[in-house]
Amino acid sequence: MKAPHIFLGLLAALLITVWILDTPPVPLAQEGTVTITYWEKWTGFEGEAMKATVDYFNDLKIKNKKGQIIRCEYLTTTNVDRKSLLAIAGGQPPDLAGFWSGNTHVFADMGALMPLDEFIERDHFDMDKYIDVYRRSCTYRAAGDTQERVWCLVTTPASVALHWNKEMFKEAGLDPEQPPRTIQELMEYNRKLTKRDDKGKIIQMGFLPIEPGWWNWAWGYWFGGQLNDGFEKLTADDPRNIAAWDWVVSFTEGYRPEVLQAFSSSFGSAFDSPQNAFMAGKVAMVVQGVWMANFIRFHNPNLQWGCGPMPAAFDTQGQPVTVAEMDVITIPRGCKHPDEAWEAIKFINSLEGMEYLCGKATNRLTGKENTGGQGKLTPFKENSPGWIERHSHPYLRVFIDLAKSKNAHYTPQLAVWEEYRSELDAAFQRAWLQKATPAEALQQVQERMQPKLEQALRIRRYREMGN
Amino acid sequence: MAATDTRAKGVVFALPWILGLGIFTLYPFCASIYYSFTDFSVLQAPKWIGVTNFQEIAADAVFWKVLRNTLLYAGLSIPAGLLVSLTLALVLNGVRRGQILYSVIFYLPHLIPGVASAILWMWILNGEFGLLNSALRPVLELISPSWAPPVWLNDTRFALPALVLMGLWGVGQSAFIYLATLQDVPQEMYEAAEIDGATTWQKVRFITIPMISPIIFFNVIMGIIGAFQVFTEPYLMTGGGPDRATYFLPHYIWDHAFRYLRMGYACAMSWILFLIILLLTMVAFRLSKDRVYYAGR
Repeated sequence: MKAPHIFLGLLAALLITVWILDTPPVPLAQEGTVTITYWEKWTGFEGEAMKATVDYFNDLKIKNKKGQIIRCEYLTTTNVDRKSLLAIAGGQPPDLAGFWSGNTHVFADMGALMPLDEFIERDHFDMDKYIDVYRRSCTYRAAGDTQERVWCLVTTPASVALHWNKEMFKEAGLDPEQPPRTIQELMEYNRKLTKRDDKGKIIQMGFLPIEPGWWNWAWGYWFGGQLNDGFEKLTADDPRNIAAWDWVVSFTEGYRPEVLQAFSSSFGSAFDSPQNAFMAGKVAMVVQGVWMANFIRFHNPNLQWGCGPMPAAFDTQGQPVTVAEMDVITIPRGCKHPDEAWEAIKFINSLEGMEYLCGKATNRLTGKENTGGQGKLTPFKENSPGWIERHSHPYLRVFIDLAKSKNAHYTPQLAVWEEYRSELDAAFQRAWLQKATPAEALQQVQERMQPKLEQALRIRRYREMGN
Repeated sequence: MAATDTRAKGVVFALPWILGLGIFTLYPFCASIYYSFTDFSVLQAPKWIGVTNFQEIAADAVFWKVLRNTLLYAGLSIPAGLLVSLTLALVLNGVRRGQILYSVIFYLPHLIPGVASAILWMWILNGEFGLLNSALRPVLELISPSWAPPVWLNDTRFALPALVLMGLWGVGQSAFIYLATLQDVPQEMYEAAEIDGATTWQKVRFITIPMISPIIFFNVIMGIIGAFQVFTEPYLMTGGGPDRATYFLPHYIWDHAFRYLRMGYACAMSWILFLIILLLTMVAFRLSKDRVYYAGR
């Protein structure tokens, strides 16, 4: 045998050995057990909390109608919606898929999900226990349907609030326990908290509306605006939305766009990093979600911070404004074990399962306390006595109150929502970079997206007629 | 008989590739023609809607903007890539000691995965702490204290050129190909030119470039195809922004296919992209007729 052949032979043997050693053993199907698959997007603390909750479900050894024990296999999947999309289209979906509240209704429209109403009725599952905004977000009248149905239940409920840096407040001579209560006050605080160096370069800001920039489309809510009026009419150019964007863009007054862009580029691009503008002390106030406490604890545990409702520009009558987003769990149509999948959803959405997922709770089988779950609120109106007090989030009640507010907004359930949001984001950038006025930018969105929505609805009706 | 037998064996051996090509390339390629005339979300059966998608594309202002961006990117990145890689190869060709070492160094960036290099370049191009601006800032301040370097990816005017600049990082591969070809140019030609008193530039212009023209042509074609398919870097580094300054056609197609669930519309745009690439390649072939020298012909 020639030397290269020996070398290639050894290389092949090595690769095969590595492959064999690296391949995890395939669990043998146990008699009396039925395994369901669950694709979920989360990594990090949410992923760990969800995995622990699934483990808890498996520990309970819940049985299906045939008396088989249900075992849930949890798989973290990137781009879970796209992969699920292809798996559903290919007829091989997982039994459970974790989506975002923003695209669940689109999947429902396309018949890709199973409605949960039958299960809910059969098991007398209580939907009234949910905080209104979360319950409504799970419900949708899909294309071709005559009634609203429940298409998903909740996994990671959240609401957003104003977070402020107490140390920076103290330095600026502000009361660290007193956040701004009005938009005017917020502007005043911003002026006091913004600092420049000798050359006029911004080194610190009180409030920067594009940080983190995730809810640029939603600013109108704090001015009493809406993005849609029902399912058929968009209201991007609602005067209250324009007023909100005018206010946001007023933060750029006195600066060239590049100055603020240079300042914001100094944060780096990763939210989950020590360079984060809020955690690094570069921006004193940000609108952030309930998850922020976890990141602060991880990246800057010594940060002195507070949080409360973001001030609104209209009379909210004691009902603060927030965006109440959530991630959801669904049963894809065509999955192998819908009944068993429902059992898992039911456990996760029980008080026991949800409190274990969202905060500090005890596994009643092992008696062991978890590490604190995903550090969020539950989507329920009521929690177990003492659960909030034991929770790791020091301001959890703020987020619960915000979610319960009548001015808590959830993602509009529009056929063209993803594209609408992209357009709003692009328009926002135009306005922020002073390439268009907010009125012009929002008008352009309205003119572009309303016909698209109408066309989508026309095609939907055309499909319904054909079917 | 023997010939038939050999052919059959050949087909059998090639069958996995033929099947793969047929199922994973040819079928989607053909199916996408049909889908471009339908409303198709992947989750529902396609519904024939005639030329509606194409009509909508014609009236889609964002499509025209991303097409303009894509053409601009191609127009900048192809000549820039060609110039830099060729210059690099010419310089390396003149290096007598350590040529292999330098070649390897310049080739290395090509081996780094797109995602990793995108993240690396996000930091190099960071407006505040980036390596590039750290080098530029003192130079600009020396010229005028009020001058500041651009914030690259955050500035609508500089984001696209910044991506072109980043693209030059990966010219090592084409430079490597040029270098191999340069070493194949007969030395006698240079010697003859030297005897005739040719300058270095004249040697490059009248000997080197004509002799390596087939490879230049090959790299131009690959450059056209690559530039029109640019996706990973802008997707990761800018998300198409700021103000859609780096929003390219492949990204727009992807958004429609997988975010907006409008696969039919995405297929229609893909066909337009395909036709543009085809047209430009044909133009390149036509232009190459009198400009590319094949010694074997």
